[in-house]
Amino acid sequence: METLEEITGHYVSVGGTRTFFDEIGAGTPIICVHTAGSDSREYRYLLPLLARRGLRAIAPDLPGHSRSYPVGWQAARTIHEHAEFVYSFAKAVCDERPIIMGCSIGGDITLDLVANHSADLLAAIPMEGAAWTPTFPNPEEMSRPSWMPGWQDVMERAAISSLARSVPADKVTELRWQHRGSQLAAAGDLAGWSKHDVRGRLRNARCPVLLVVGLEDFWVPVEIVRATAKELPDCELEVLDDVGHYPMFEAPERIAELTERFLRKKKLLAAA
Amino acid sequence: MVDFGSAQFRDRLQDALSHHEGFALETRWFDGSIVVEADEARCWLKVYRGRIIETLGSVPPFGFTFKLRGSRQAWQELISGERRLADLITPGQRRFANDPSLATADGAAPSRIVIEGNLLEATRIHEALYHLAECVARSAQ
Repeated sequence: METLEEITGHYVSVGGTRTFFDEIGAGTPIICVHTAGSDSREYRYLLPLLARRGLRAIAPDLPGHSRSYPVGWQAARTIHEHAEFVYSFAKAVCDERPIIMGCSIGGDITLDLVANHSADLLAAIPMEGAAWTPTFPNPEEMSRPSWMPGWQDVMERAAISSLARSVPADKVTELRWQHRGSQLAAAGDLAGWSKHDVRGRLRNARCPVLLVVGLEDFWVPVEIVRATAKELPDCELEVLDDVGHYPMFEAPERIAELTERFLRKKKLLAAA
Repeated sequence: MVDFGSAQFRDRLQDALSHHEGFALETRWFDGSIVVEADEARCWLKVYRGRIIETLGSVPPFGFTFKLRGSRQAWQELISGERRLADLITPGQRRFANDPSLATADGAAPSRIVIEGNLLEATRIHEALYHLAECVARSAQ
């Protein structure tokens, strides 16, 4: 049976860069930022669930990923570059303070925004990210086929290997395909991850933060997330069992419920 | 843990790889040799166009194309399913259960299983390494 999905795709020019985003729902905007070398499709299961809870759910493709062009035709090499782009994107598509949610590099991007623009955020929900993520070497030298012929497979395997063991085979394959449109940008994303460090810059955060980490994510040890939680003045930490590196993809219902509960507790979501 | 250098392990691994369609597909255009090594025990595999055409319990005089080298403990972590291959072959410290202060954090720390030799060839057939690891785990149980 063929069905028409309610998620709609749009393009917006952000500082001259043609940028794609998925959108569904109306209400307080929540911008959902994807992982390294992937795109907005990672949020396809979560976006409708957030919309049902009264949120305007938005998921962009970061510059250089899938349908968004890179800024100045160069892939970003730092988390901060991405974060500033997301900040400009939010200004372009939202007319009120947004909630920022992100996973992996998206989690680091969210924390970079907390470090630099917290007064302009309603709340922040970093998943599988931390203030400091030196968990593997800078992979910038792997980004070209002539330098590392198997980079695409290396990236895809790094992604699917970090899913929880309970994720069914067809979703493992789906996640793999979600990493097949951004090979060059991925190396810059992960270079940014390896260099990212906003330790000591979160203590004055002016928005509430919900940190989320899956226990089956070997890329993000829970200890680095706990250390980040200690730096934030208004922070809750959710540690999820049976979840790996992609909570919004692996456990969308749980993430939607956590998000709703957190926003209601902080009185940021109107009662239904 | 099974001895990687034993004839029994070599036979089981060759049989497992010979029946693995993914390994055959990924190594279709590979002509070289792969060593899996656990401490002092090793298994040398000659791969040609998707097939294992010979195995040895030592490295021949002309060497190998690339090697996967780890301790018995590291391989046991793979075989038991405790850790994934992507985790074991990627450098960087990611275990801090005994170090909540993160003093040992080091993104360049050596991987548990190191790939040595011709790394361009190793990455060219990166997908095959996962099939190989699957077969190693199955053959070692």
